[in-house]
Amino acid sequence: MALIDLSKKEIHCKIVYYGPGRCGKTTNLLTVHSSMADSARGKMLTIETKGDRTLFFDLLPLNLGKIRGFNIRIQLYTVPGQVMYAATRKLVLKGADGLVFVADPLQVRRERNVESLEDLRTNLLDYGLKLEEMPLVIQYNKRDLVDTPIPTLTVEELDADLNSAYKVKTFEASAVTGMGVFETLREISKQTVRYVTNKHLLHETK
Amino acid sequence: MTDKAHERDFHGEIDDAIDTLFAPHAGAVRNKPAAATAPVAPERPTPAAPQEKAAALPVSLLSADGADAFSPFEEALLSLDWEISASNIETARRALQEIQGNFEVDKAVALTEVFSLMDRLLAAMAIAPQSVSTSAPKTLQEGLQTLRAAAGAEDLSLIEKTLLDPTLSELRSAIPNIPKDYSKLGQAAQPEKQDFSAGEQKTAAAAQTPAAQTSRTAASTRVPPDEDILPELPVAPVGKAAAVLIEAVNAHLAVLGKCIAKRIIPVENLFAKTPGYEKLHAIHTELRERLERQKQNLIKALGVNYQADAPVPVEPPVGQSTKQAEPAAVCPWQTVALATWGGKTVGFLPEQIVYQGKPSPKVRKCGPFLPLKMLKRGFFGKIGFVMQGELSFQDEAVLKTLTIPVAKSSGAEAPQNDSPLLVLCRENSGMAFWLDEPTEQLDVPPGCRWEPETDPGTLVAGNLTIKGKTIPVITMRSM
Amino acid sequence: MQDFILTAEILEKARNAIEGSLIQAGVRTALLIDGAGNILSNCGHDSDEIDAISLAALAAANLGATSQIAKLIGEEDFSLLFHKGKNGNIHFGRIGDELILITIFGEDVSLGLVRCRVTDLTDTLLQIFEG
Repeated sequence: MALIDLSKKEIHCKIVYYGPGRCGKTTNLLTVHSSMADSARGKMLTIETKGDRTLFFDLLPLNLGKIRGFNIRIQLYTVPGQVMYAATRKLVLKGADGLVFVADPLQVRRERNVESLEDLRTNLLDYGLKLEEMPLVIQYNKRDLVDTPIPTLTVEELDADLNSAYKVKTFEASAVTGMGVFETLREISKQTVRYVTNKHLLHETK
Repeated sequence: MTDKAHERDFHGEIDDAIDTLFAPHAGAVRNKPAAATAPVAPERPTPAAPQEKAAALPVSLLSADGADAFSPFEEALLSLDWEISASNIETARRALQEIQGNFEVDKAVALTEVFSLMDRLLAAMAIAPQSVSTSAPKTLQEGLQTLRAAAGAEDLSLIEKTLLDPTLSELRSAIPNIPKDYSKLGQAAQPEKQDFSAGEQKTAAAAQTPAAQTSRTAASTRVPPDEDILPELPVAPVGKAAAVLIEAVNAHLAVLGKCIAKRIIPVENLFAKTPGYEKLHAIHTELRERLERQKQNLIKALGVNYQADAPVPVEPPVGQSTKQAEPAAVCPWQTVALATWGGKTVGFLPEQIVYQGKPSPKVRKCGPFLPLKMLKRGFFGKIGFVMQGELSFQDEAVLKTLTIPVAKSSGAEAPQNDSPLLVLCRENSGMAFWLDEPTEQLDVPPGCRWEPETDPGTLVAGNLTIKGKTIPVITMRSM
Repeated sequence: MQDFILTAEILEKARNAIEGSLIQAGVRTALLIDGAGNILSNCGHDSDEIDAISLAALAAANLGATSQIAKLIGEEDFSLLFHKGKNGNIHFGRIGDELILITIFGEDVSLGLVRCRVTDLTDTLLQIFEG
């Protein structure tokens, strides 16, 4: 649910990073946070919990600058990936305008990816939203592991598992090194801002 | 520009903005997310500078006499701080009365105003919590501390400046609608107070605290002197005349009590709740307080002759208009406006007619409800211009919002093209009538038959019989 | 869920209602947000000092979480959400299904009376936003 403030000329969009536990959603946000200029980024919020899992969510507000006099602000959220946090995951999804699905390439997590994407689809449906109609990109994370002995899935396998139905843009990334993080963000930002502005701003600025 | 081109353009702008934002980082790995740039944990809202504590109370006083009586009130205040509810307020008021009762008589008298203001603040919270200062429970806490200190103090005059005065002024400012010159009133009257005999001072103080009727001279009464104070009666009058007088005064007290409880307080509460009626509320409160003081004075004057359960003298049932309660068979009005409505002759009260005339044809289609703004003439006309009587003084903004139900006649026909419209209004109620003919003034001949209507649910106040013809008189009764 | 489109007029009305009722009564900050954590209105004396974006996101999540907790114990929702601190207190109130009003106030202000005012304000705000 975007917020359009006509008095301050601001548009707020919410982009949610979704995916199975430990796939690197928070790392994506940390990378973005650490490499952006202070003027464009807000304070990153994480809720401190024991261990390195996200229990509730992380939030990183970004300021995109002006388009036709409108200040575009994006808020990046991550959801807790672990299956048991179903309720909080669904809460964070509330009002999302764009989605990044972060897939884990480890062979052993193959099932988890598919389950998580299905979980995303059903949660959105509960909010009356269809995944195929929303801005969505898929990120194949942890590509740095491909050259290690750890068994990983190939891009083709990931495509077959996750993108055969949606046919959206995919990005190979390595959130810890920063590779592909901004490509992913750039694409989802464009799609989301278009999606929101097409609904509201296009006719306003004619 | 075509829509497509416009859209393309627009999307181009979005892409450019996003590319510019992320450009320096695209693909490039600038630095690994280091622990040094760890996210900031959520910050607590910056707390404001801690408030200075109210003057500390001498601890020694807390264990003084009467201290035990404070804890129920303290508990009640805690509940109130949490939730403003009728039962919480009631508990607090009862606990406060309890404390007052446990005080030494002298002190209870001297602290009358603290008690009464605290009670009044509680009452205001019950009636209109929105208009009470949000620090009210805190102010009551301070009142309680003051009472505590007073309970232990040997001489109240020692804490007068440091505790009593600040507490009183805080209590006053917390109560909504208290007259601004309230404290000044008390001060201005100070010299007068010295003219009173000690006995009279006692009366004044006792008037506010019946519990303290046997008081000795009060050290420092804070009761604003009042012109209502009766001089103390020297000796109880004797003889038959006196007995009659005592009975009359007792009956008067019973009526007065009933009027205050059933008539004045509900109206006062209503005013308190209604925004814009602050002044009326203050006047009403003052009226009630003066009447209550009067009542106390009379009770005091009666002394042993006071009968708390004196019978209320038989009087016409309250609520019924006095006009109708006048001796039967005399029409309460001297003139009525006669008209035919729904084929019948009916009477209206001229003073209740706020509009009479033939409005424009579109008004005739208004259906069962008539917005008064339909009656205004011309684009720049005002509704007030076409109104008469009570509504001609009303604000245009208010008139604009008024919609008045249209009375259904038994004839139930749509208004004819030339039927005149009549609008009645009294206080909050109004009704519009499509008449068959315009009204005609009629002076009610003396001696004609009048039967008041007993059913309060009808608009007919009664039936007037003139020359063998019965005319129902339609009136608006105030709500 | 609908997108919120705020016009200057709606915001002005909401701000006036909040300032008139809460800020004048001594509440430090009042923040009107939606269920997704967006800020609709931010009024009060130290509204600039607070990280409102984080506060809004956390409050929205907090209310979401507590309403889940409510359901776990068989309640529809909790009617009172309040945190008490040493010098500051925070109260969360639901305004209809979509909005949340956060009030931050000091020790001298009574929760009971803030609750009364928030209840009053709820109707006013609903009228402003729902027309």
